[in-house]
Amino acid sequence: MSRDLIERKALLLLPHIPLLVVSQGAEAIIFQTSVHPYLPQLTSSDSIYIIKYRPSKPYRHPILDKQITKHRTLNESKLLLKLLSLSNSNDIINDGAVLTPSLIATDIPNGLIWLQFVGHFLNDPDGVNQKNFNNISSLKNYLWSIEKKIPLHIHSNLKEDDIISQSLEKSIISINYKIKNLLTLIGIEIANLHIFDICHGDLTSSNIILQKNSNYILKGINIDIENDTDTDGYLPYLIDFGLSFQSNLIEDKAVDLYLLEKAIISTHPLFANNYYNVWLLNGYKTGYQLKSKKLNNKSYINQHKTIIKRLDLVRLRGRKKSMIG
Amino acid sequence: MSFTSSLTLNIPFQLQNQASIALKTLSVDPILRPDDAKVSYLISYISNCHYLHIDLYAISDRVLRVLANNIIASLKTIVECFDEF
Amino acid sequence: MVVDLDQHLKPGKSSYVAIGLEGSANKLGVGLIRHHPGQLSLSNRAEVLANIRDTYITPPGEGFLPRDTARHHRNWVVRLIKQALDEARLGKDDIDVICFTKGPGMGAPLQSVVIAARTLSLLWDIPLVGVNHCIGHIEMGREITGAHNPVVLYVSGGNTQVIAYSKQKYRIFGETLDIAIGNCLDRFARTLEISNDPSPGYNIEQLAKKGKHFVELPYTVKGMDLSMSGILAYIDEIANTLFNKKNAKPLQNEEGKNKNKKNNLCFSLQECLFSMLVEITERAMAHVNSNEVLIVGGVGCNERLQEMMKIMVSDRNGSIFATDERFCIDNGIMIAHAGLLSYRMGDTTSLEDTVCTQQYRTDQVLVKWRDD
Repeated sequence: MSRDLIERKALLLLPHIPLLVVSQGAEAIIFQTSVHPYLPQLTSSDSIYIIKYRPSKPYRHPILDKQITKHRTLNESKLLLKLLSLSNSNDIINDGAVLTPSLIATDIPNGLIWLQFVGHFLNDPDGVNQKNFNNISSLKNYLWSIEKKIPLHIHSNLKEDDIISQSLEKSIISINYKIKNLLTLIGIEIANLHIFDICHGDLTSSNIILQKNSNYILKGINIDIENDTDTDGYLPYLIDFGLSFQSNLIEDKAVDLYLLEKAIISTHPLFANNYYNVWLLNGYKTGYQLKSKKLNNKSYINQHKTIIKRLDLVRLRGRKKSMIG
Repeated sequence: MSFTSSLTLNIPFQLQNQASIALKTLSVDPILRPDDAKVSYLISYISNCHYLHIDLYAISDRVLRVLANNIIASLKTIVECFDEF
Repeated sequence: MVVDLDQHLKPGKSSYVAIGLEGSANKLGVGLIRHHPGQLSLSNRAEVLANIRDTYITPPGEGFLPRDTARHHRNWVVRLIKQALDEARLGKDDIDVICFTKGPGMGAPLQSVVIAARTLSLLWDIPLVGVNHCIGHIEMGREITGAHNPVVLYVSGGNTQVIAYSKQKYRIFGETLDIAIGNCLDRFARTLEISNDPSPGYNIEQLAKKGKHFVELPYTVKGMDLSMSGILAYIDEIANTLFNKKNAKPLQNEEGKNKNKKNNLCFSLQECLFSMLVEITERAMAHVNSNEVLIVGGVGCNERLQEMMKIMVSDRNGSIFATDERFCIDNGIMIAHAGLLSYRMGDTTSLEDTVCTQQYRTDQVLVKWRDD
């Protein structure tokens, strides 16, 4: 089914709703609209809502296709609702919250989900701000926009796993401490997710959207960083819960972390191993420490230790997998 | 661990370089469990023949047999190469 | 910046010739390839001089064991090499380098082939190059199809990976968390006691074409990866119950009913597994913003898989590339080709380093011959 056909199908499902296609991912197509599904339109609002539509995939057998669409849409809706109720009056990440777009409405058999819009459009390399979802403020795009600023000749000489000297680092990534704080905060958020016994199932840098929030301050955390209050004004929101599931198994949480690690290494190979993944895992540890402190319960520290131990095993499994033929 | 079982294979070759090629080819592969067995190679020239002597030591007859079979199977390929090329 | 591939051309020679030996699983392949100097391109293609293969086929219901496979390879390797040289009308003086599969694969079969490689290298006094089996598939696929920078789906009996090239490495974006798809299909073929001639996967494909009813199976994509052992266990259970294996009723029973059940099971298994493969390939494409897909590996011969992938790729306005059974299925020419690329960059493998390794990740190889 080409994009036109998908759009037409969506229009049939959503009569009288103006739709603008903003991105076509692997699994779903994202529309933008200013109309709320069930609240009256406020004339002064320039609200944006996101409609995530999982179209049927023509390469799949129709029975399988319906099974998958329904399962993924239902799963995502349930989990978004659950996270909303868990984080309830608490939307501070270092207080245990997981930030996600609000769920507004859902049509499960047809694969539609209405969500609050999060994020903004980054400037493209020429400094122009086109409201194009290729420039949405995902962690991936944000990091890429900074990595691109590294002068070409330095970039091409860098090999992976080089530890860039401190002075060079400061000069080429002028806001590197902001990245560190941001990734630490994301690590805390993922810890919070796991503490809720929920595994994301598809953690990548594309599935973390950065929302501008200049009032946000990282409070009261003993993190050994230069300037611990600045995450470049961003709060990280997790999206795309289609593959998420509830689990209290150490294995599942470790695999969840492993998926993120791998994803970061593949999309940001120069800085993943010595910087980004290190900061993410530090944040993950902090998340468990914060919970332990809050409830005065050392078991969270032990849980964290067990998960990290398992992560080491999962990594080895990937390395040592027997490959034949 | 003492190696109670042992065996020596004496493989004759027409040409000296054949014996040395066989030695170099075979000796690259390590023993999977060095505590269980040991191999050593030696070339000598006796009555117009170039011999490759292979000394095998193992902790049991079974291990010895497996090791010897592997070496002889490899030798088969090596000799076939000499014949054919 | 263009990589210089001709720093090691032998004086007096106008082209490179390599022999490739492949034996990581039950296929033994010998290939001879020629490269002309300069960059490989649509106007300067590699020349296949010979590509012979012999497959070790076991009776229905049985898989192939390392020791027997190694014996098969030992019985055939010298014969195949001679045959390949005869076919290409070449002799030892025409060859620049001997390439062999260093890994990954089964230990004993790999070793049985490398013995021949080492012997000939010493006998003819030419260098050796150890090749990563997966890189062989990828580079041959690129060369044959002309795909420039595709997302590669590598699917075979022993491997299931989604790979994309970046900065001199073929990086693994998605893979199986347990068994490979070919392995899954082969084992189910054993459950149903389907013939292994020419290959169990081929026979499952033919039965699946006749299947009409879809049986719901678990669907286990996990992020960019997938898991198949659960599906295999589930469908094995269905098959065992349906065919009352425990009562030892003969499966070869050509009753119409049983045949239909077999067809439907094969059909359902393929639909489910291939959908998962297409899904993780699509995810990788979206992640790296790529529009091309190249399918390599034995399971890549499957027409239904190619058809499903084509539908997905056309939807995204992209292009799909696949090779035929000469290059999909394990073969020697891909080893010769990949090895020759390494050799032209100045790499050879010293004798001590020619020990084969069962585990050899695709992303461990430094792809020196590309600099994009």
